[in-house]
Amino acid sequence: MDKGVLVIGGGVAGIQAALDLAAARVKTYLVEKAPSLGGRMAQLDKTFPTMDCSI
Amino acid sequence: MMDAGRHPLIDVFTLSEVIGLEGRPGNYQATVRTAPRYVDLDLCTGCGQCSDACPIAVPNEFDIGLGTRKAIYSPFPQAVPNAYTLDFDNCLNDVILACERCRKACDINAIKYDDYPKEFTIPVGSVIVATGTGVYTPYQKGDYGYGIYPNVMTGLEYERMLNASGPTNGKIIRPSDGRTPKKVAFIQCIGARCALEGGEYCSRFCCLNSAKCALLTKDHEPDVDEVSIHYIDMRAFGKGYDEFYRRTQAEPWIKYVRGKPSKILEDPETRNLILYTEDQATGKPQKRDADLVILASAGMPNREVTTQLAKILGIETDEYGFFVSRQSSTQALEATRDGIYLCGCSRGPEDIPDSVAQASGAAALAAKHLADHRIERIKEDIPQVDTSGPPRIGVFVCNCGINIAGVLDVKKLAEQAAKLPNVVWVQSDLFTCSDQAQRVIQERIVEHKLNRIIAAACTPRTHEPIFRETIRLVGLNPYLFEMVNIRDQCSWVHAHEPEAAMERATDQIRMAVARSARLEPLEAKELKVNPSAVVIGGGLAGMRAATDLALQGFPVTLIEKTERLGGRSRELNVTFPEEYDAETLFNEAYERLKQSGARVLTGTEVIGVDGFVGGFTVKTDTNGDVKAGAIIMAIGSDIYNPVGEYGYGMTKGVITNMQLEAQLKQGEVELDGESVKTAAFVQCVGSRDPETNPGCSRYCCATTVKQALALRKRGINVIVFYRDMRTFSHHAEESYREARRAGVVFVRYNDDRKPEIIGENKVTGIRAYTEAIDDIVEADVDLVVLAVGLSPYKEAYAKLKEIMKVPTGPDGFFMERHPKLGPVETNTEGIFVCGCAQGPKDLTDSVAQASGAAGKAATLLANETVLLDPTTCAVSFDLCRDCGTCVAICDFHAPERVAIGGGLFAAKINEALCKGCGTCAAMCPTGAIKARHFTDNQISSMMRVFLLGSEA
Amino acid sequence: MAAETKEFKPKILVFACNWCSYAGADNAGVNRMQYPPDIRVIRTMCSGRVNPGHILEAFRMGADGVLWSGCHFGDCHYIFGNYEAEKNYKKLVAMLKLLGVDERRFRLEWVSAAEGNKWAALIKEFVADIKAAGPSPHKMNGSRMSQPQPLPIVE
Repeated sequence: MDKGVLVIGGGVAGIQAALDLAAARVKTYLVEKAPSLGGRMAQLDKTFPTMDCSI
Repeated sequence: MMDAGRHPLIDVFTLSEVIGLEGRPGNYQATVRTAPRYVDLDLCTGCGQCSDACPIAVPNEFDIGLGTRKAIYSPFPQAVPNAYTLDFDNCLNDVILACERCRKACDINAIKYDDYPKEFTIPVGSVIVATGTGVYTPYQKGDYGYGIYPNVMTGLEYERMLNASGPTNGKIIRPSDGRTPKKVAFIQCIGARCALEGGEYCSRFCCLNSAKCALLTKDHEPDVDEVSIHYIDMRAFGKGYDEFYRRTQAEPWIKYVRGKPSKILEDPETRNLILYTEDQATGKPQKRDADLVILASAGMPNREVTTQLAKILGIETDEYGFFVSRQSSTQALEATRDGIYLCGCSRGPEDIPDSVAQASGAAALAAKHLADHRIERIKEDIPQVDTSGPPRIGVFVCNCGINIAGVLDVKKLAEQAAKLPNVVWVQSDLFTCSDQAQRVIQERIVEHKLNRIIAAACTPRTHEPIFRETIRLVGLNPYLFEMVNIRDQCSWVHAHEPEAAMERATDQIRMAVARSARLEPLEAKELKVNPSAVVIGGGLAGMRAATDLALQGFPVTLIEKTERLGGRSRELNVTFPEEYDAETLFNEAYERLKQSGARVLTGTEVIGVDGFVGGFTVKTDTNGDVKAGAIIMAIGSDIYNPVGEYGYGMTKGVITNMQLEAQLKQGEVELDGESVKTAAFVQCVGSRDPETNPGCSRYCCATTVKQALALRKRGINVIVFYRDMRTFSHHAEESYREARRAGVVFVRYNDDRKPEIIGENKVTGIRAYTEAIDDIVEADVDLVVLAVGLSPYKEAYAKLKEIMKVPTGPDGFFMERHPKLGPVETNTEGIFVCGCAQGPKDLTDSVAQASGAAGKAATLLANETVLLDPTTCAVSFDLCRDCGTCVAICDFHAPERVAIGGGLFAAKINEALCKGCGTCAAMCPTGAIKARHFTDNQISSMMRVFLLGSEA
Repeated sequence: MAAETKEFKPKILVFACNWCSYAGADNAGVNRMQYPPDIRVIRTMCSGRVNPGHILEAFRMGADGVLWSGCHFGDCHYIFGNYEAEKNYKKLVAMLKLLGVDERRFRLEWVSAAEGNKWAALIKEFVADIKAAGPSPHKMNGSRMSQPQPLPIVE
């Protein structure tokens, strides 16, 4: 396995950190306790103040 | 989300937990345990047939128990990975006889009852903790009747009810009787700002979230008569939040009521709720009724879980279970062990923009341990398929299990497609997106010399990238792929009219075939990236951004206009709330900057920028040109000049909070050598005022609390006149509490009745109307401190806006690409923004955002080249008559006027700047502009097929 | 004639932008919101991409209704595309009025990615309006339309 960064939590912050690391060519291991990614933000209907949808 | 699931450099482990971390920074070994899913992730296509077959329904955690799910389930429709999970605790196979209905329902044998937990170790250089937060459950204190009265629910429960894919399909109902409520009441600060229940901190996101939910309530249920929001202080502090707040205030059916109800009782007959509040006009107790009450619960971690994780990682948590920063002003994203970083709600409640900026910041910090371990892009050598000949189209029709085939006759669709012009191969598959079917597509391309591929399946928004990649791997240009959506926009939405649905699917496939024949191969342009960066602005934010990039191994030049670094921080005495000495903070930051190896140019001004993403040339007045692949703007903000307001500049004894800070830095607070007895602060001077700065300046409330405490220590009496105390930042709420305990008097004034200064040449007193006693408060004071807001540097911003082509927003600050998803990027690729240049913020948030900008810039600089999407627009010089329409409308400044010889000019589109919207092509009066991949020819061909029935 | 006694099946063309409206239509699908199948959708990246000529061409080719859909103001993926679309829409409305086209036949609507319910309701309403308006009398019957010149496959 390539040495990389361990990101704990697959919510909006964890996903963002993982995507930025991967885009910067750093191997990333994203560990999430739930069966799927998304965290709290996936539960929201819309987000303030622009009211666009969460997913 | 989808992107994270698909990125080759991201390994996603769901149902997994970290159970050990050994080693040292740069060289950790993490042990991870994965619980069994009982469904093969590689095989499952997410069709849902297993779930349909499952006889067991249990409450759905995702809907917070409001709806049900099966024992084998996918938590929500867009879940990533898009695979089902078997909850073995609720599965029949576990207890009685073999049920096995799901296994039998699965066409691809993805269900494996013998799955088991796995443990493995991963070599990691650093760790990012992004565990988020739970929410406070208001069971502990039954005052508001949560858990007793059915019509009292939490904000998150309400949120699920508002969601169209939630348990009520977006209908708002009263749990007691399923009726639509007429009066909805939100109660703020549940489990927050309270010493008795929950936490003493401010939960940051709840005020605006309730305002948002209030707006959505009427959207969903137009018959709702009233939504009331019961609050202590309205903390609409983020960029654009106050404007949003004002918008909700203007709605006649939204009522903001100050003060939390003392209690809530239920009418046992109607199950309506009675709120005991105060009448704001008279100050007398008042009863209000509501038929649904929403408790805006604070963010609060599950302390047992976080302390357990903290123990494993060797870091610290606070009394609530939030992870502790090494130092909260300028090292907020660092945990208490080297090589471990924090972002988002793991260190305290945050809203989405701050969470996202912090995530990019944590990425920048974590990456410095892996600067030597970046993974090179593998050079591929795939022979290209020749596409110059006549179209040879292959059509692949997907059954999607029974999702499509249950409504549409897939076989017939395929037979019809086979008769269409240019179609040489047709087939249908159970799941066209499955690995197996993708391999078949690749084989058919080779076998039948196909040069155009169509998939009639689900939506291109999720699956087009997968198919494009599939055909690219066998050398077929990815832009020769076309997708027809016969699921999301056909079988799923016309389920009861299969015949008409069939007609629609037939037409849409015919239209796609016509378009496919006219698709052209497009080559993504590759631009070389200069791996160095320029940071403009040498305040603490700019210094931080430069440091974080330099430590990742990128050459950085920090350009500062003045002769000294540190910016605004050099004027500060101590920072709130921990009272770090500002001079020490600067010295530490400067030391880190020196060690990072970044080049610093002080007394240097940027006078121009040439080039585009990956290859900018930054021109300076005194130090020549600097070449850079990326630019970060960290030029900070000005301070509002209150001259003429509250007698400032005319009346002695009226000063700004920055002038007071300078005195505090000197030591004594005096007025003409005489000591001060009583000081009054006036908040929101040049903030939250549509005339000056429409938004909140974020830093001033907490600064006032800090300064008030400092004055109290010197024996000075303090009165603070405020509108809403917005001490939302980390631990600032606790300081606010301390200030009140220390005897600081807080008096609220109304937006339309500002305090008045008494005294002609010298201030002698201050008076203000306050609603709390419905009367005027007057006090003798000898010092008035104006808490002034932050405002844009007018000239510098105007100049930079022109040079950088980055727009400013209505508030005058630089506009980010997206308020939530791109808080540190700008609309000009390769140019990033952070700190107060993007909008007012405190030191902690500025510096965290600076790390975020460094993280984002690294995503560009770490790559040798940047690929430009080729679906851009192009101008035909023969047709262009130089009218300038495209140049005028494009907000990305992609079209420019160029000389084409013979004294003539024409528009030319810079592909590095063009985003491919195609608006210029629609506006061009001569048809000189071609929108690649969405050409007039392609669009017309589809219209003809449908409207004229002509395939020609 | 048998054809005339048959129920009127309108030909309705829909332009939907990729980021909001097309996504909103997908969202209606994910939530299984049912709406009439009389529409045919053409996806563009932005509502601003739709050329006024496309709309006029559609009516000339016999479209009974044209629906044009994009992001709400402030939500445009390209910042300004939907504003330009609205400018063109206003010009087109005036032009179509001159040409005598029933105003019910042409609409510009904003649907966000989360508004599956709005999409379904909009299509229901628009299809009902077009059915009420009846078959379009504006189809060009000249030889040019009945036997169109083939469009080039390679430009």
